[in-house]
Amino acid sequence: MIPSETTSEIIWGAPLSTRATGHVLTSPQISSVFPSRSEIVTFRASFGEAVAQNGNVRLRSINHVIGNVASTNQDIPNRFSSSTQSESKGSASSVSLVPSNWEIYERCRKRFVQITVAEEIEYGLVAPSEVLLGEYFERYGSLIGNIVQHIYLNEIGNKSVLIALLKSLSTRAYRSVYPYAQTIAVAALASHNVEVREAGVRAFENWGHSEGIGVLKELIVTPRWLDEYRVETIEYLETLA
Amino acid sequence: MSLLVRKIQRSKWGDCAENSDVPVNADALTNCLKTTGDTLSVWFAQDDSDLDSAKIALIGTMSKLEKIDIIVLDESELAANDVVLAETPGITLAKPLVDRHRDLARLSVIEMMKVSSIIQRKLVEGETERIGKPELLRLFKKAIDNGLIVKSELSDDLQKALNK
Repeated sequence: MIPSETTSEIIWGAPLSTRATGHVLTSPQISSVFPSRSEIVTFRASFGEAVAQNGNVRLRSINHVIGNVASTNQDIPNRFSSSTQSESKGSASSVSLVPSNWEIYERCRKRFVQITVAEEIEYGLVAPSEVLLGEYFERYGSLIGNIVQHIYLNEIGNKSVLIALLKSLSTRAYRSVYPYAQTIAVAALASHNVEVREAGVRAFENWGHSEGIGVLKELIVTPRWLDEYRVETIEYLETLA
Repeated sequence: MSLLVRKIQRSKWGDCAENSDVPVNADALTNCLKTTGDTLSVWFAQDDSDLDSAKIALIGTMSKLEKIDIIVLDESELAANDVVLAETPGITLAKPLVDRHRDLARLSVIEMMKVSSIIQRKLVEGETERIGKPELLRLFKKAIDNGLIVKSELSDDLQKALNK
């Protein structure tokens, strides 16, 4: 079982070292490195490659992980506990690590893709992917921009995901998804796929924000009906401004 | 002349909506014209002057204020193409208009080809209607004012949009 993301306690039983930095980090040093998050140690390392040697935890590769050092009775993923138990030689400490941001991004992406494969977007109705993105907003707070961009960048060729993503984002308040959602919408307007381009125009219409006027005026989209929709959307936004 | 209103996904039709020589693409058939029990759902209007009622019945199925595209089909043209029309109760918040619902029924691949050809022709000729947010708001307000839709029965999103 993966421990929760919000670990509150750190018991330092052994110093940490990272190959990435070449430093051996003990508790005070960690605090000085991460002064704002003294209760949670944030490593740039993958805990998939963490090993313990002589009571030290060695983190071998660069990645983003949130982790702590806690008592041996903590709920620890098997892949780590076996490593630490066999190599720590009776150290009083063990490693308990929560999912890295990268793992969160990936988990969110995979779930989002699964949902969009199964759903059929129908405008005027709430799609399951919108509900899911709403859950991400509530659960991941400040990470949501990165999650959305991660999904976008990794699924840029997946029409269904892009449309679902834009439909979901366009239901959120303009400022709450600024600027990543608007950036994705602008990119969508240049897509080779007409459905994605339409989703881009729709997003600006749904946000109903005057900043959309300038964006939409900069572009001409094809085919003709979609460009007419773009012009209508500009006119609509101008009535709101 | 009786008319039938159907919501379409304009962008699913791709190039075939621009050129009638291009065969109807599969996405249009399998997504935009997705059948249930060999039927396609449409809303009935007596004539042009009655179109708002059919549109209100249609938007009564919506839970979000998002632009839709519709197409208006001639009942007589469908009948001439052997497409069977069945009166079935519709699901809409415009309850007085429930009986405006019709099914294009007993559709086989042959009738589907005919229906898709009719829609393709209308797309190519620009005979579709975009109902954007302002028009949606107008229709919802008209429906509420005329007692066709009870505002409190609408989704929170729609009520919020109508209160703006």
